[in-house]
Amino acid sequence: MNSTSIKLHNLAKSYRKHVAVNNLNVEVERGELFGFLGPNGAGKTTTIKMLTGLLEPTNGEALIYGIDIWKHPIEAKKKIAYVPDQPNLYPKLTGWDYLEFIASVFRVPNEKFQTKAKELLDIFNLTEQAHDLIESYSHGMKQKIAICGALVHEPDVLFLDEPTVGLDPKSARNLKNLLRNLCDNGMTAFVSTHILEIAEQMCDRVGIILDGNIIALGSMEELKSQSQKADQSLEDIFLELTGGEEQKALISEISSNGDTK
Amino acid sequence: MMKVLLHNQWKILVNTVRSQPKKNYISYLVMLGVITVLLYFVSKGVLEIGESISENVMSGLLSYGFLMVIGFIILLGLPQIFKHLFAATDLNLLFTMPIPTKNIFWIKYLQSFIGTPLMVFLLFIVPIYLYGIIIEANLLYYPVVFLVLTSITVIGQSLAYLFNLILVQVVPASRANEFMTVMSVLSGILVYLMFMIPNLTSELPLTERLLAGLPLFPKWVPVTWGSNAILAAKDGSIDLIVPLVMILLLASLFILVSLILVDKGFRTGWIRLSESGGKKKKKKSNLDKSKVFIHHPIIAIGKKEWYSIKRDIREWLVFMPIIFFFVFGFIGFLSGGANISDIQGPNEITWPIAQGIFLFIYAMFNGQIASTAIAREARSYWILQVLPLSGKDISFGKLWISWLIPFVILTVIEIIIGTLLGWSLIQFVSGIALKGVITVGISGIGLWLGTIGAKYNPANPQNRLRFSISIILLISSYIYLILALIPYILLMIPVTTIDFIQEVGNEATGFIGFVANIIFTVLTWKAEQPLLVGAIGIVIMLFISLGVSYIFTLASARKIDKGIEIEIVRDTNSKSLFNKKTGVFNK
Repeated sequence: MNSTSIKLHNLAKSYRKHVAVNNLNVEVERGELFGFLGPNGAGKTTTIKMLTGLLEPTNGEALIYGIDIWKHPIEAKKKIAYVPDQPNLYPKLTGWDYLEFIASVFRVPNEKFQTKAKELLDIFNLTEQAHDLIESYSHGMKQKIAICGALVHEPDVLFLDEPTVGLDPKSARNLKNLLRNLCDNGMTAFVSTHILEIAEQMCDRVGIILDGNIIALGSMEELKSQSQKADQSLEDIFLELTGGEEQKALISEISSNGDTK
Repeated sequence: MMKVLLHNQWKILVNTVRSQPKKNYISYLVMLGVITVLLYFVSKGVLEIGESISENVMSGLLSYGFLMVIGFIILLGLPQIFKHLFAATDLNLLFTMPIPTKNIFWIKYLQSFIGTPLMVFLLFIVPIYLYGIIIEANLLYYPVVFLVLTSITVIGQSLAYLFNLILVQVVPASRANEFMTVMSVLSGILVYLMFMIPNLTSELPLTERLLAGLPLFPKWVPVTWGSNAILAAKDGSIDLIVPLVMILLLASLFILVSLILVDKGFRTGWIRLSESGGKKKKKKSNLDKSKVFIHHPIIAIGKKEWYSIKRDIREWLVFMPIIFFFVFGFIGFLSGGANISDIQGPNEITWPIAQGIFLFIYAMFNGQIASTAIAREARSYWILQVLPLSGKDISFGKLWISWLIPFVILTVIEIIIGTLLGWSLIQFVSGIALKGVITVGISGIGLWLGTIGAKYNPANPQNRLRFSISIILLISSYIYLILALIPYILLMIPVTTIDFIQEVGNEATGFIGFVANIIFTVLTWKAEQPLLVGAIGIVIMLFISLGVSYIFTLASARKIDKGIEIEIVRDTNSKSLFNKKTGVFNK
């Protein structure tokens, strides 16, 4: 199997004059857990949507194991799974019905589905609610069943957009462990997140996007060596690169003024 | 406080108007055009016959008109009021601020006058004023008409509010949306019964009594007060005072009762509905006993659609007209003094008539159900987009289920009716098979129109097709039906009519003559080779229906592959699901 699982080649998206994503070139290796970071509106979700076939690129290619998702959508989609930040699922399906539907689409054999579904529902504490309608689920539960749906067919590449938002600490921890474990077994994960600790702890490599451009790319060690400060955390590097340092200074000035009053 | 709230509403209104896309202005213009045309025809009617209308006839017209005002407001305004009272997004903020509940209620109450009540008010006041000008009514006539019509509108609106305030106390929070739709149907029945009041008081038909100037309602009915006040004001008579005061008092009483119920119904109702369904008794899951059915993707899509339809009461409302049609039709038949035995027996008459009626119903429903299958995805459409499904999988998956549901329901009804009428087995089988084949084509057309005219309105989730497309759907369903039925009709015409058809063909010219000659030729063949002609007719019919279905389903698949555009109706003040006017989903 091709060792490059995700390849963004000059990938761009423009809305009239506004450039949302500007000629991105990134490669993610098989089994890698890739963190995609950036401030609000930087182009993270747009990039993920182009990679999952939800948004057509203005230019460039989005390749999944060498298959262009826009030229051969079905073949590419057979390899991926996607969990959006706001998983709008079918409200009138139960959690179990939803998993069964996904498994039917991916032609997962009956027995394999049953074992996998039960395992995932158990990991995310959804076994009790599996036969409740999704409309009765909380945001976190919807997020969890969407993750179960994404993993039930054992995808080669998993795209996650802000996966920990809405998850309780236990489920967030379980997800982190599960992702690490799955990636160690060959699955590739492309994870967009705002929570920098997660990226720092979990990811093999991170890419930071700002105004549609990749401004940093590499492992934690590489990023630290690029910034020439070994003791810096990912948060420091992120703020420095994305201009957050100025806001940080402003906040500390405001608070110090407040202290003196 | 009211000043602040009103100012805020005004700013919201101004900003909403300013930020409207140009497309919306076109729909406003169309709406204005429709109202103008309606007003033009009503006004023209008033101008032509205004002077010749006697006072008694006018009294009947006004009373019935007022009843219509109340009926329209209840029927059309009920869901809107529910939205204003319990689904508006600003309530979350307003209830956390130190604003008395009554003030919030008043704002919502005033806000809800813009819309159906205002439109109905305008549609009525213009012709009534015009009538006043023609008959040179006393000056008092105009303010009295205004006051009476305002009171009637307030009564209608308050009734709709009271209905909502009471309703919210009995609805389980988790079923609010579905229950609301069912209540809309019940309100429809209520309004229907309201309009039946005049029929209950007399044996004569309504129009006959109206034209004869006979009273439609008893004197104590409030709509009679309104018409009495207006007719007295026309002559400047002092008799206007009592009925006018009574109707004004009644309107005030309605407002008062609504206000009394506010604390109980409004805030507590909103809190009830805002609560999650957490109180619902939960079934304990037993995954070990779960039956697993992994199907082909086309079956899985249809099954998913079936779950969405089965578990949402609102989806079934599309079949309400069938119930109205059969139940009221049956009641009407029996109440007319007839017996079922009267129509049992002449199968050769009842069967073709029933087939015609059923095909008419299929044409109405199959297309509609199939067309809504696309927009049903709404905000969940991303799931189908990221899954390895081709447009063909999706369109055929949606086609089979949207064809099967009406087919099963109508077949059950047909079996019941056929059994009552004593049809033969051949009649049952051939009728059901014929309709089963022909209706696939309608479903195919409906599905394709659904892909080009999908619309999603969070405030009205069952309204899933753009207006223009729904009109095209209606027309195309019937055109298709006529075309597909041609071979069938030719098969049905008995050979014994051959001489008559030949006569028509010889005498008539133009299109009729042409058609008669074709029929004559077919009948000649049929007389010689009945079985062969029958078989060819069936093959042609199959070819037309299955061909149309296949072509349109493939066209839908291509459209799905290219990307479906679901128009998202944005409503700034109600719980919106999308942040943009139009959601484009590319697959």
